[in-house]
Amino acid sequence: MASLAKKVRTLRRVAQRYGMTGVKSAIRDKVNPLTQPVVDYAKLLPAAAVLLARHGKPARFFNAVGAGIGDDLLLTSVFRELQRRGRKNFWVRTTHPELYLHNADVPVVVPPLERFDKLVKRVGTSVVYPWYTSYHPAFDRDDPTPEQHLISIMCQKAGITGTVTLRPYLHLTAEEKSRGVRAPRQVAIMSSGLDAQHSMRNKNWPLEKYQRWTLEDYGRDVFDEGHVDYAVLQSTFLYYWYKEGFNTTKRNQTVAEAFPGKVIVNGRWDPREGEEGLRRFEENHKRDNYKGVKLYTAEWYEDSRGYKVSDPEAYRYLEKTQELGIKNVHLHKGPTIWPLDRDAFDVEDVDKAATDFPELNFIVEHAGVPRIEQFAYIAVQEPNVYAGLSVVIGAHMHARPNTFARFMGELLFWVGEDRIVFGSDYGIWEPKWQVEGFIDWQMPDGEQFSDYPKLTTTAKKKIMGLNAAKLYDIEVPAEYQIPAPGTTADEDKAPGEDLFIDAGTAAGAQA
Amino acid sequence: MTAVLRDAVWEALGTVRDPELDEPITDLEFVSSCTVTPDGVATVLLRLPTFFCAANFSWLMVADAYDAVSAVPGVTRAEIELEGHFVAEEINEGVAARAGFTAAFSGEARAELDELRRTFNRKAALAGQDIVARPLVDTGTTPEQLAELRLGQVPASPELTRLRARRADGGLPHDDDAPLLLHEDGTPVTTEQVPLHLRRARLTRVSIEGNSGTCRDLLAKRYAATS
Repeated sequence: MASLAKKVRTLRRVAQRYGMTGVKSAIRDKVNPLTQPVVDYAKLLPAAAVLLARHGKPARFFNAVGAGIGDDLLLTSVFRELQRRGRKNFWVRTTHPELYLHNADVPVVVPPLERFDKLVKRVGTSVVYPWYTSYHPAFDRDDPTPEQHLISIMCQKAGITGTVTLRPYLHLTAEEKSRGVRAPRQVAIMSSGLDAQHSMRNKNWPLEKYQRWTLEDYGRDVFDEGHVDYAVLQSTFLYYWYKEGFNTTKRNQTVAEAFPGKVIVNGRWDPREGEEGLRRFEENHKRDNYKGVKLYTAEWYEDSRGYKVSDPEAYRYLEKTQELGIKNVHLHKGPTIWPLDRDAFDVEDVDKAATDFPELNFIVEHAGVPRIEQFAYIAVQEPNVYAGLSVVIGAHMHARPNTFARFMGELLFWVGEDRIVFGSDYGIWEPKWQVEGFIDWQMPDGEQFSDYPKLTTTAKKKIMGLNAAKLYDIEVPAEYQIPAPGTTADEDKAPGEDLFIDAGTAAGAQA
Repeated sequence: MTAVLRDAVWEALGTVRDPELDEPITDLEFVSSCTVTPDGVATVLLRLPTFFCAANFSWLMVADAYDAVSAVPGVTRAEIELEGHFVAEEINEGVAARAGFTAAFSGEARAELDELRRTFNRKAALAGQDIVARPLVDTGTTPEQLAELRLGQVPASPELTRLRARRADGGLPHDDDAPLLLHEDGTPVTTEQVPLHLRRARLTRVSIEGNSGTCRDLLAKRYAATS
């Protein structure tokens, strides 16, 4: 009775202060706890009865409501682990049922109906509240940062002990996938082993720098620290894959402008662009005065998945290139990514073109690896075919030294030191460690390298710059030129090296 | 019983080679799992060093694995699944449906892969000559002797067995009377040609072994967390 009198007094006070609105609100507050469960159960029981009839009583019930989507996703690891351990009889109550829509690890998703947890508790199910933090009233905030891994805490609450296997789970709907597509059958180019994390020395770039380096980075990495006097930039379009192109002539020109007198920008052409392309190339040459072009024979263009430099259309462009007085043709001949049965990085086409265009120099970048045997055998027959060491050094010298030594041995034998040119693949690898490493490098001792020549200082000078200087008409100060034959006695020679020096300088005089 | 059958399936997978690297896919760790149910359903998961490994090479390996596993007595069904590859779906479905490569990639691939396989067999047969002949050269065998040498006169070794097998695959002479040194077209190598021929054989071997090493490195990095 006393409590009823107290309630009446309270109501009167509320009425005095807040009027009828206050009285209604107070009555609702007091009545709701009595009526709400009835309302909730009226909604819950039919749904729960159906689920119980269909799936039987669950052993566990995850009350996974009240937190963000990220927490739900973390929970998928817990569910996975339960499945792995054969404890498959559990339900998950969530406010984001769509997150578990295609998740085979979640047996039963139940709607976020009120009091579901209390109901299943009554039938003997163990209810898990998997959250890793709890509200701390004294501080009016969640507990401080958890001291264990969040998933580990969630697992503990779910009764999982020991090692936990994590498997990220992602299901994209057709609509979500189509939103992410940029081109039909789009593929990305994995050029540096970013995916594979090929070991690289001196390369601790964060992903952001890898994706976009600045002119300031370039100046420091290449000219200040990279020991580079002149850089040749190989323009590549690849518009099929890159909205703004890979490294276009135009963008390379901004680099040239930033470092006047130090950067040579090569042009590019693609025989599949026909008459229009030929005209545009000539115009661009008038503007930029190219000394070389870069060709990417595996480039996608409309329906075509690549071309051969020996195609009649390509010959028209080669004729034009020669006619314009451009003498260096760089070709990317590296790993195959897409082309299916037609291998657009095949090197055979260079053989034919090099024979038919003796005035042009064909520099095969990456030395044809993984078809170095094909490339080398062509290069030995064609005096105007060169090996470009880009990727050859970057991907092998440090990471796979024995392979690098054998590659260099073969290139020195078949191609020779006068037709090998350095390349750094800047942006993928920095020149600094490649230049320093190659200058210090020597053909290893040991039986498997015994047929290969040691690398002389003369050969290193040629490969690191003098050969390229010849190709690009760059004047080399007298002190850096190779001394006349017979004056190399001060070099630190390896046994049997004399013979090699003689052969090398003889060929050098010839070139 | 299932364990015995599983061993037989594994052995069959050991006959499937990466066409470019000329090594069994089991040695290359391209088989990530291999299970056989009591009723003879063999499920094989394959993985490759990169997401973008050439589609044609990948096709050959999945198709060869399918054929090899299907042929094992006791296997009632072979399910070969390539994982983590940009055209895994097309390859898996095409091989399972027994469609040819061009059918699976209609409009994009223009020829079947037999030619590709022949090319790689010829390369392997050339590289194999360096592997077999090098020890002989090191012990003083002369070019004249090498040009005359027959396969039946070479001491038996796994390398010799492999060379014979590649020759057989490539339609080249491989019996005891066949010369050890052969050009890619199957013609014999003359004494004068021996030094250059051996250089070429070694160049080819360096290329294959170099590529193999790169692929192994990439695979190891890619699956570092799981292996």
